[in-house]
Amino acid sequence: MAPLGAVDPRKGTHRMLDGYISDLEVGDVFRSIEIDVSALGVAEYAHGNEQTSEFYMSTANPMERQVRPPTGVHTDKMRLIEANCLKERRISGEVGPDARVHYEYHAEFYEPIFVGDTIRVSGKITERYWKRDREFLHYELEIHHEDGRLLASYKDKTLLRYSKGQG
Amino acid sequence: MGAKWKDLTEGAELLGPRRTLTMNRINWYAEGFWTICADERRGVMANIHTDVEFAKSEGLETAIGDGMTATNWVSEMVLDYFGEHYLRGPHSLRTKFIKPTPLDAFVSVGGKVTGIEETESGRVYKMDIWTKDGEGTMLTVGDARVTVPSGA
Repeated sequence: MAPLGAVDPRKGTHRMLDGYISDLEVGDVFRSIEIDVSALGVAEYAHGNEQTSEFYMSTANPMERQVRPPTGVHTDKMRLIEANCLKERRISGEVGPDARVHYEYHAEFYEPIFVGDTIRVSGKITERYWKRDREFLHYELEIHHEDGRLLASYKDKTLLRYSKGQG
Repeated sequence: MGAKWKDLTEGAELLGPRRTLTMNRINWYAEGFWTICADERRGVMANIHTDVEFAKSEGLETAIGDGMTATNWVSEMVLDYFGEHYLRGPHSLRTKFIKPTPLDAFVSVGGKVTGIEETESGRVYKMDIWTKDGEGTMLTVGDARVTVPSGA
């Protein structure tokens, strides 16, 4: 089991990796991770969002498997960061110098992700730019089943370095 | 579960949850988020979402909801209408957080069917989606696309 993501050392372009999130640059390719999708994580995430559909809570649904909410793809980003931004491992309680604000979520799902699946998460930084005195960072992730099927792709825009005066 | 899509026509409105973003809800989200990330039960960390004083120290007027709370509430609406067709895919969901959702804001989730297209893989429903506050100000905007297979 790899709860925080098992790092694949064969992957990754480590230009600005291993530092803070705010160090990430266009062209950085994350070391990929593997995640074992657990019933605990899925149910608690769904419950935390008041998503109490039986699809997310148990196997007692028409699909007969417990489904991870599609929105859980956002948590894959955090686990990828945990394995790649070693000065800001937030799951481990380490906080970086800057607060950030999520700006855009965009997920494309081709197949569902189920409890019991092992998924492989890869990703890269595609854009970093200033707009209206704010700095943005774009991530692109792909989530494959361990058997190689592409399950989802995810694009994320984050406002970097949220700071005083940027209400 | 989720057969309401059968009644949707182009231009039809979707109605989602209507909730007040209480600190309890912010904390529930945080606990769920950190638990799935760590794959063990986790509590709440102080940040701009969970701690009013921390949020003020960062220049905000009060704590704000995590954007993914809005995304999850939108996703709940789409699941309510499309059921397993949403989950089986293919589908897309995009949410853009154009204004912060402050603590104790009343939030309503909605959507509108902008197109229905017959394709080889099935009937594709295209929707605009949003969240609004109690005054009707858009907080989150975006779009969704769900495919219902032929014969469903």
